[in-house]
Amino acid sequence: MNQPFILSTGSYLPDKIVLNEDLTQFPANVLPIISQKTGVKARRHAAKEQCTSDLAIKAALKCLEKASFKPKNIDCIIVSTSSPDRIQPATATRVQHKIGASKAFAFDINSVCSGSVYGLFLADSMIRSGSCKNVLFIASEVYSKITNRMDFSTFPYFGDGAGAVLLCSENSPGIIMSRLATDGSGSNTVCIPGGGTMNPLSIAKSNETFFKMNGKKVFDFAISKGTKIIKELIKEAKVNKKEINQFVCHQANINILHKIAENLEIPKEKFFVNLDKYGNTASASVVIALDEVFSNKLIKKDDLVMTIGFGGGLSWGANLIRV
Amino acid sequence: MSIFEKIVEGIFELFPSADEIEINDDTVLEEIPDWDSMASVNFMMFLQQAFDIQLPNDFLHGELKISEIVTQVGG
Repeated sequence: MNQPFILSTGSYLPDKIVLNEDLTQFPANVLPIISQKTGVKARRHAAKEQCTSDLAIKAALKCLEKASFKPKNIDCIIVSTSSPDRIQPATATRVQHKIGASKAFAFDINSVCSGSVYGLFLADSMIRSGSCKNVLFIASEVYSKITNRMDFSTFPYFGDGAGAVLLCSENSPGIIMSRLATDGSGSNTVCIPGGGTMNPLSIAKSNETFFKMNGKKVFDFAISKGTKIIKELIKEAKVNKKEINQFVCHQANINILHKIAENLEIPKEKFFVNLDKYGNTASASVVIALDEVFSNKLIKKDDLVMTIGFGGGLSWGANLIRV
Repeated sequence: MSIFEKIVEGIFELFPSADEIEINDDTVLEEIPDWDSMASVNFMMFLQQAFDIQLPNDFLHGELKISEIVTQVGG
């Protein structure tokens, strides 16, 4: 049977480190609120000339290099992004060209911050169906260029980065099971109001072209659905929560991670955290974190890892992975 | 445009769901849908810029009435 096995992971964070105290556009006295409310102490910002595909390419090349895997052997490239290079064509097409994956077909998905768990599910399904043997999944985001630098309710919490996962058809298990969910009634909760066909650029107000979110609603949603999806996947996969070695959750807010851990009575140490260094990198956060979990050897062969994502849509989901 | 009108305009700009409530002198900030500590910073910055004033760091809190803001920025 075709089983999607994670052969390699990689990630790329831009060099520019922006600390909370560097955000001098905001009054100095409010800056401590950033880490108090979210745990974010720093984030990376892409260089002026870097776009989303540039970050994706670097993460992809690192991932392939680790496994000494030739780009021409990739069948498909999926790029998850909610901050694409351009509205069209797909950001994945430039990645395909630049990494030399000439035999791969390439396309984007956009499920905002849950994009990684959706993408891993998609790659998993393509391999299981037998239609692809080697799928490169990349999540890449450059939120520093789609958020308003004067908006305290968004700009300080987001960062730029990319992560990549190479999934190959093997006989050994990899992604065991996924569970995804959507509640489109919340489609206005996280959005860029202008620039699409609903509110074209030609008529949109200038402040409608920036990313917006209702932080309070997203906070409550993430805790509620994050907790629920983990419970559901544990039950469906018939595993004990104690058997899961690492929970790799979307890195939105430390208080969300701690509350989910508390709700599930899982030690919070089992929830990997890097949001203090990188902020919320939207859909890229889960794969960047997954790469760090592998690189830092926090898991070993045959361990179980659960990846969990939640965000705009509203959408959420989780994957259970055997290393 | 009066001070009150200018403040209300800023609220609608910063809190798109504010049109769900009627805003008057007695409205307190925490009645505004989506009001939270993050958004309050944006509102503080709006007031300082719109009225060219410096406000005390602890000026904005959830129980503050619009009339009290009008008095402060108008004074």
